[in-house]
Amino acid sequence: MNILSVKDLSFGYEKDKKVLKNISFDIEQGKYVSLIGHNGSGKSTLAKLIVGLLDLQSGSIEVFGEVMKGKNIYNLRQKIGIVFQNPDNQFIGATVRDDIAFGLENNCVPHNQMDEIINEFAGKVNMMEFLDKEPTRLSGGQKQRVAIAGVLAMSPKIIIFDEATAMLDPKGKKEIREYILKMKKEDESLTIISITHDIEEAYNSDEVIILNDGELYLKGNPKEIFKNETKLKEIELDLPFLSKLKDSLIKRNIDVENVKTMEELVNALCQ
Amino acid sequence: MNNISIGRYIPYNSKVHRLDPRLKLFVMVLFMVMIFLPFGGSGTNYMDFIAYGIIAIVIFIIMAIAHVKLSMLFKQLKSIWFLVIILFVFNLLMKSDGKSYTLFNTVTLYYEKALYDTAYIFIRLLLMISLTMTLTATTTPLDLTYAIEWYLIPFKLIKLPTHEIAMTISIALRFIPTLLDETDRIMKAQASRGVDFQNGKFKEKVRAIISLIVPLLVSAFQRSEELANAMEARGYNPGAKRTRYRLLKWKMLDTFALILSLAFFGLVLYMSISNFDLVMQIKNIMG
Repeated sequence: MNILSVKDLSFGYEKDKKVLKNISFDIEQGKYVSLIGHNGSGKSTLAKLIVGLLDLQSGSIEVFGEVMKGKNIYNLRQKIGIVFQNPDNQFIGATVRDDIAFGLENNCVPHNQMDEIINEFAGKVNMMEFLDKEPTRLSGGQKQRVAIAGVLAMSPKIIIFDEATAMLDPKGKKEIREYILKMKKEDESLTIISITHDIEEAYNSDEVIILNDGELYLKGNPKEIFKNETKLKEIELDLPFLSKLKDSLIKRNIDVENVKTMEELVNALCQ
Repeated sequence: MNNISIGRYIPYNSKVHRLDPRLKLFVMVLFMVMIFLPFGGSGTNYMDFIAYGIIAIVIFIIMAIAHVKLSMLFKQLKSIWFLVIILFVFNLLMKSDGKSYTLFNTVTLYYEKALYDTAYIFIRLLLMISLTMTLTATTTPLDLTYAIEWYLIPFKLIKLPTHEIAMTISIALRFIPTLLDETDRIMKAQASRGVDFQNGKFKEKVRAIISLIVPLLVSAFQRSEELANAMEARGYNPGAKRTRYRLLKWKMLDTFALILSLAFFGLVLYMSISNFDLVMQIKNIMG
């Protein structure tokens, strides 16, 4: 089932300068989709259009088969959560507790249910002991975890990560990635769209969408897409380490053609 | 930047901390009124000080219950010493009656009245500072915002967006530390590019400050846009109905405290209106 379908979408901040040009794609429910592309290729603009933060100019977006338009935006928005890049600028409440509560307040969740929900989702991202801490006393990774909890608490069907790990240190990046995978495991039907510069992450996702200069460049299974070296080199995108290594090994006549993960590669080589 | 102690919340679980912020705000206004009441009519000087003494004792008792340390108050006083000295000098030059001292046979200084007036203002300042300090030390800024929002409810009749105002204030409060950090970072970045914030003539200093303010403003605007996006993406819709996570709860303790403070206010008000003279009363009783 298509949870999200984008049809012939074009958008420009200025009149004669299009950031997105005639983009169409569908995303199936429960998929982990990576959206990659260079800076300025329109990734974040696309994300903002999907959550309804920007008004559509031409084309259409459908979520669960419903067209995103007018008042419907507020309803559909409840099904889509987004985690932004800057940990500081999406922390709205005075404490972790208040920040998770913010979305619940907007969705008119009754007061007596809030504490239970807050505890549940703070627990999911291991932030229980920080519930009463102010944002200044948290690290970037912890703040992003709170942002994830805040989004999860609203039980969305699609979660968009708009370079959510870009401003974190390697440890924070790893942590957030693990939490994303964990919540994907807990709820199979959850659809994740991850805007990222991390080729490894893209390689490990279900589907990859590559934007170049506002146009849909490639879309499909990452294992297939990253085989298409020439097409990727054309727009100067890097290849994942695994496919690079595989290529070099195959060139040296070592048979690793069917290897899919790093572990399998290590095992294949050790035989 | 860490020595700003006025307006700082000090976490502690005292009875005063647990009081309803609406009550605390109301009681503070009551005390402010008390401080500005005249006492003992025009004839007696000492009654003012006796009344202030009584009010001060009550305030200090509240501070003791709230575990607000007196040393904090003294830290605050450091900043007003200068003001008090200037006040005294002015009073010294302006007064024209009472006991005096003539300097070099030319300038007559009426020190008695000057001393009296300066002390009078100093005590008022002292009491007001202790009050506001106790309020902010025992109430989180957020709770205070909710209290203000509650008092603004009647203005909803004239379409004042009270909830949005409270939201704005709480976000402003939330971002103070973030922007202070940012200021610190920009200052360091500019200093590394050769901007000198400490030395130089007035003109150079202004230029240095501008090099701090412009990037700070730009970044604040960027932040506000991103924040607005984040709020909207999480379903915030100004004007729409939303539920509340933090609810203010009026408890028995609050009623008790309200009655107590109203009684005290009534007593002080009576003292003021009736020109009550404690010394005369005692003399009368003693016969």
